[in-house]
Amino acid sequence: MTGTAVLEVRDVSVTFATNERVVQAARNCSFELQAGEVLALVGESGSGKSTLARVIAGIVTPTRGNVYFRSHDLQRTSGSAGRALRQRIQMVFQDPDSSLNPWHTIRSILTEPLIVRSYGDRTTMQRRVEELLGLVQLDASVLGKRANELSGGQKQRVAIARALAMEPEVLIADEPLSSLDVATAASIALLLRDLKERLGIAMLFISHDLATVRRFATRVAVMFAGEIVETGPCSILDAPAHPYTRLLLASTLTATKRTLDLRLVDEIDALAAVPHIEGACHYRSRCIQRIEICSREAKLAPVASLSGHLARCHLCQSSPD
Amino acid sequence: MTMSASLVAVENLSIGRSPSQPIVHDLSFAVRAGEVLGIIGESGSGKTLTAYSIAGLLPAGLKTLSGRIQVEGRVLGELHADERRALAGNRIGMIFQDPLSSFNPVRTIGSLLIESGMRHRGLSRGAARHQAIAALAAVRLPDAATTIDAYPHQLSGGQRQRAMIALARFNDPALLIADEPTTALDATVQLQILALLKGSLASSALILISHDLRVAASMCDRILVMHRGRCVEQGDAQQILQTPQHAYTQRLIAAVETLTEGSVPAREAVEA
Repeated sequence: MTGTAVLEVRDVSVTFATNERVVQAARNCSFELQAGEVLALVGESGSGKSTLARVIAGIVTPTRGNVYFRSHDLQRTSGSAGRALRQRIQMVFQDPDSSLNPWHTIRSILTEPLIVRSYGDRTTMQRRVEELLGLVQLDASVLGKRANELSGGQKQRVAIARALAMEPEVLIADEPLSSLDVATAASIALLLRDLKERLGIAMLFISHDLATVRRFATRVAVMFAGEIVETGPCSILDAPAHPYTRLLLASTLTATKRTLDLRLVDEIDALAAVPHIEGACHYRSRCIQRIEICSREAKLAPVASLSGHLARCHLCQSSPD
Repeated sequence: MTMSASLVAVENLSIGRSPSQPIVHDLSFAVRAGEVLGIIGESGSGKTLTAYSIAGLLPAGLKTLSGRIQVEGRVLGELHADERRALAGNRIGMIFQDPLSSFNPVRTIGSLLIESGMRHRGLSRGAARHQAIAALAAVRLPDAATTIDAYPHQLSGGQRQRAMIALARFNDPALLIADEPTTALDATVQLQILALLKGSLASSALILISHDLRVAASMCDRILVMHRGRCVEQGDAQQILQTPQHAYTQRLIAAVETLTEGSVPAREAVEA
């Protein structure tokens, strides 16, 4: 692991077992997060984005693999040392209605984390609560209100302020814009970028909207069926190597796109079903370019054109191993 | 546009609990046959209430305070309850945001289609079932002859929305109303559902309610922008997207540009 990474996720797999079946929510996922960067995790629902976020936040225990925070293995650090490390990783959820108690006042929502970390006496805490509000551009007049009296955007700002109360080095934002109106979403996106720049926080930004990712992230990891299938700086979205990334881009609407280009989607719909082969490329069943070799496992390997650009596809790897 | 050419004509419509507190205020617009009208605005702007009032689906306690709604030349307020139901069932198809919560979980997809065909078109059960299978196949649901007996929870989100579209257009309505039809769906599925809606337009007009300007841009002929219960701007979709006149529309478009591409507008521009 390089010295500058704040967070490293190494070979993390998560398996959930229900009575009926076993779901591999994440398979051998690895990435690093540096201070001051925004890594976007994108992919369709069920691709494993939120599972990875929950592993990093300590809500889900990985079946295999490790998460390192500043070189400390979070799975092996327990007790007060483990808690102290985990406090530096905070999470903002999609829907502030379900992540904030509607009956608690904003003052108590923001004071509680300060009490947990024994921040100081009442006056010190009160001053800190006001600072936190300032960071998220809320007025002190909201302090006496209950969460259910605020607008969606205000609530999301409170959720961000609560996360900041722990002075996190890593902020995980799980679809933080999805439940908001476009104007509010834009202002929250600008706020998150502003906080990242001012506080030097490393951010994991989970989104299904490639257009927004392109605008706000520094690096991107595209997930499919629990695997990272393509990753690199956001400029890879100008020349994506993996067929799934190309499909996601083709499906992204813009304010200037007048026509719906369905060619790719139609071609995928028309594909014949393929038999399941253990270890085969997971995208094979939906890939219009699949060939013989795709029934073997595809590894995440460098794409020639750009440093840091990796893709899990036999077709775009220059030299077969 | 002459009134006779419009399929839906809404004139000076106000909706609310009491005349002192209208939620939708003095709204006028028309939808022509085969046209896509996008009603856009943020949550609470009144766009859903407006569309629901056309289908006679206002929630309990809310009513039309003034103004009138004409569908195919018939004034809704002058119809008997059963005439209104027949109009809504035959001539208007509704597509809701979340088909899991708008389908009855203990009824199969097919039973809804069959009931609709029997009640509104007087089909026999056998004929209705036959047509229901064809309708599910037409929205490209795999294996329609089996899917017809599936319960909503057995389908994926995209499949449920396809089934919803099949139900909405089953009686060949003159008007489809789609309320945020793709908000709960992944990008690739969204594209398919929008295409399916576009493909339904040969015989129907569409009112598309969305908070997403990008969806409106890809679908609509005309756009009506709502803010706090009022129409702030309406007209040709391209004209509104390229040269918005009202400050609120300008702010909405600036917000989309902030989130996607183009230059970052000044912060004041995106904060209400």
